[in-house]
Amino acid sequence: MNARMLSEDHYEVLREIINIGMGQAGAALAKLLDTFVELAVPNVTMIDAHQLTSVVAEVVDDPGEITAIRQAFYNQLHGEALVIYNRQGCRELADLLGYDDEDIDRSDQELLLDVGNILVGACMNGIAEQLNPGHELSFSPPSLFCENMPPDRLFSHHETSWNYALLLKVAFRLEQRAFSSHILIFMPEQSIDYLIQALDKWIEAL
Amino acid sequence: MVLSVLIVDDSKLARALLKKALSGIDTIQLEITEASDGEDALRQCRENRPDLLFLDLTMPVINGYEVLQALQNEKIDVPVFVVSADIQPKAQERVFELGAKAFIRKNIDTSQIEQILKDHQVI
Repeated sequence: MNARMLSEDHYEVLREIINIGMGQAGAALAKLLDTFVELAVPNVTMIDAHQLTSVVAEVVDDPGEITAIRQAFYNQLHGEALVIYNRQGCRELADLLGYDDEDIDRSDQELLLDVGNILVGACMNGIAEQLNPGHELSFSPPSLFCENMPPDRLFSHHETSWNYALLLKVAFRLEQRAFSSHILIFMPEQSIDYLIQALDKWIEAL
Repeated sequence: MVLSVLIVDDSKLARALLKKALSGIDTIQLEITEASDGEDALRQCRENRPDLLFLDLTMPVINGYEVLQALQNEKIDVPVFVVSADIQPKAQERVFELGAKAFIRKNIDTSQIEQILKDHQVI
């Protein structure tokens, strides 16, 4: 069995499951920032490793530089998540959380890591719980993947451990703010068998 | 009594799950139609005035908030039950401000939907 065996029914179920995970992540962000979070329609697709750069470039509104947080998740379901912030993201977050300029300089990275951790945790736990109730994921500590870097340079020195992966894309915006964030979740081929089994159980129960 | 129900969701699966939950209620007879986007939902509401509308929020082109706003602007009086995975409290506040009768968290089963319909005196 491999990733190319996902059927249209699998994708349909997965999109709805991501929708629920995204809702939980959006609620976590809304609670943290005490503001209304706009959610976009989630997307799921299969990509080859060489498509990584174009995938990231596609989601970035500002063609300039981006900052991204990386966090791995593992258990039966495993993979990596990238939380991508637009240029204004950090300053907007700091402003909403009441940081002053001095605080922003000191804790830029810490803030982005904390918010990324909350978003990935809520989203992935929501997805894992829907796939298999009781299934608990473990997470690596979030790390700064890149800071103010053009998307086309992101993966130039980055070797992936997979040839192809399922890519789950979710996006958040804040109303009347310049903040936007995307979560890209990569589930490599090694994770797909478990995913297909879990999705099949969903489909059988319909 | 036959209740005409319009289910609006861009996900075919979400529509199927809600239909399945509704079909388990044996005290009412339902005539269910579907729409996969907000534009089609508004068209059906204008033409057919369903007795009840189940509305998703996160949809392409015209989202659920915009559907609620349009129904309000056009004074189309259809009871709307929002069914969404967007569980932030401000989303709930907003849909109630736009006239929704209830906010239902995805995914829902027959007993839950039956209770909500009873609570709102639909059945």
